[in-house]
Amino acid sequence: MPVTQICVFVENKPGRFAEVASRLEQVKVRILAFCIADAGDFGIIRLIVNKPESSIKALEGLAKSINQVVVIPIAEQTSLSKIANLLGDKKVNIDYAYTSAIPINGNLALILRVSDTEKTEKILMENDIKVLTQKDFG
Amino acid sequence: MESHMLFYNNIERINRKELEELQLRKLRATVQLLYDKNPYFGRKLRQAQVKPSDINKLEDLSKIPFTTKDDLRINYPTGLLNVGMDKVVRFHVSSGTTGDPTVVAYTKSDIDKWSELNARCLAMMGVKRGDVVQIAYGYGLFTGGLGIHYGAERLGAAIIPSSTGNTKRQIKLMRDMHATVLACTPSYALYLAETIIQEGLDPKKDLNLRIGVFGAEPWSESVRKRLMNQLCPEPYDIYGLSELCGPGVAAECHIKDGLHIWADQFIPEVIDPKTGEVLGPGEEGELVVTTIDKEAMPLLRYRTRDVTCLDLEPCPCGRTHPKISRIKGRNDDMLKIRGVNVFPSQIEYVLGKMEELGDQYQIILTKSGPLDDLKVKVEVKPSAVSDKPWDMIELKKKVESEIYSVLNLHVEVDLVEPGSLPRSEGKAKRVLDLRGST
Repeated sequence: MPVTQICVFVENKPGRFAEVASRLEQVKVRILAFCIADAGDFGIIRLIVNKPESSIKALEGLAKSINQVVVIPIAEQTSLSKIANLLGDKKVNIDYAYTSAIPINGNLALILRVSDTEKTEKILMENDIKVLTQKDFG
Repeated sequence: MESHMLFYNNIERINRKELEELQLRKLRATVQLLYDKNPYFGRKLRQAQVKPSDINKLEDLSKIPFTTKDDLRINYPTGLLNVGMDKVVRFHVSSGTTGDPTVVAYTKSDIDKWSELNARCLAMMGVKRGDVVQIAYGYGLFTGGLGIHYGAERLGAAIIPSSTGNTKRQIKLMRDMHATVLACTPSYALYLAETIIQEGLDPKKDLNLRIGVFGAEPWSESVRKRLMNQLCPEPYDIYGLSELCGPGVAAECHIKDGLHIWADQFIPEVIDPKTGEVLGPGEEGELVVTTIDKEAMPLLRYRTRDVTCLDLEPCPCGRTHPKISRIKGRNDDMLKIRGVNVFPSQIEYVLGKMEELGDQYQIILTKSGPLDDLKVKVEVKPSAVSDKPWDMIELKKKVESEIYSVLNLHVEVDLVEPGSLPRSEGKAKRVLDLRGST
């Protein structure tokens, strides 16, 4: 089960991330992972949260895009090269990746935006690599 | 189509020859009156060595000197008044966005004629008795509200004189009173549509709007399409300026290919703004209007500064009055960027065509060294946002190349967040000139 990622389009100026973060805090949403991709005059704030639906409501009026990502807990023994090779062999492209800001269920997590989310989850599970679902973020 | 066939006055269909005879008769009377009675215009005519007897055909109009906004300013407030104060029943004062305010006076008959012109315009758009007309133009010193009001009242329509402002109340009234006609600036119409949708309403289902009477600023075909999709099926352009009376000088018929200018009251000409030379039909230049039926403040060859062209071809709607093309902008709106003439309306047209973009934009002028530079800020639609910055950069480049294809000018485009640009309740301020401060 893929995880919901919320992306907010913001102008590259002071206070924009603060607005997003405060709106989420007001409705008691926890940001579990985030990443800011900047592109000159604007940027995209990507967020993984514990409550996607109330977050989307709290961010009403802002320009957003909602996507699905694959979230993999990173343990001591996790091999990034194994994950990357499995996907590469099956022609799945990793568009971008980042890691969680805080542990989720005891582990930090790797967030992958891939060309085919369902296929990726299937490949990983077949190879005994754990994939988190939205429920794990309760 | 029945509703579109409405003629308020048969003079709208008068044959062209009779119309021209009428114009000449009224023109001669106006020139005679000003020559004899008006100290300022009398002197101007004498200085130009034009006598009323020199006006024997319509082409002789070109002998008469132009009147400009400066003539009105010099004579502020009532120096151009052509009747005694006991005949004046109203003053309107123009906003003075481009300098000092100017005062326009009306006699009872001027108000009557102005009302009739607006009735003709609205009837031409299909407004009739039984319609509920919400007028969200400013009432007061500005002519917009009252002008449309008189026209709608003449037609026997029910008017909601909501004036400008208080958008939430506008929407509530529009909904509760089942308004079928909305009159306001096109930029406010876009803002209303946006707010209506934000409130979770569907303008097509929850409102009864049929006709839009949009004017007081130039707007493009792509904005018309947006308004048709978002607000009302029949948006019409109406033109006027306070110096001539206010709204109702010209408007579109259902053919929507130019605005009929009421030639029994006004003689339109299009001139080359640099040389003053009169241009032929189809040639783009500055609109010059002579009023031939006004009492309080007739104006000879008034330079409107609005850029358009004349169309004298017969219109399928049956009206014989000539048409002006939709106003491209004001002479003074024209920007000269690296040698290229740019009208904000051209940029609006490009932006309006692109589905990924919202309705609001701003043109920012700066100076880089000795050269003027232009940048466009435009809001993106929430649905156009991607999680990948590269997609957004592609969109930005696409907008830039679309602008380039129309203007032949590289313009930097900034995509900004929805809701971040200022909204306007009256005339939109699309151009931000920072040339003095940079």
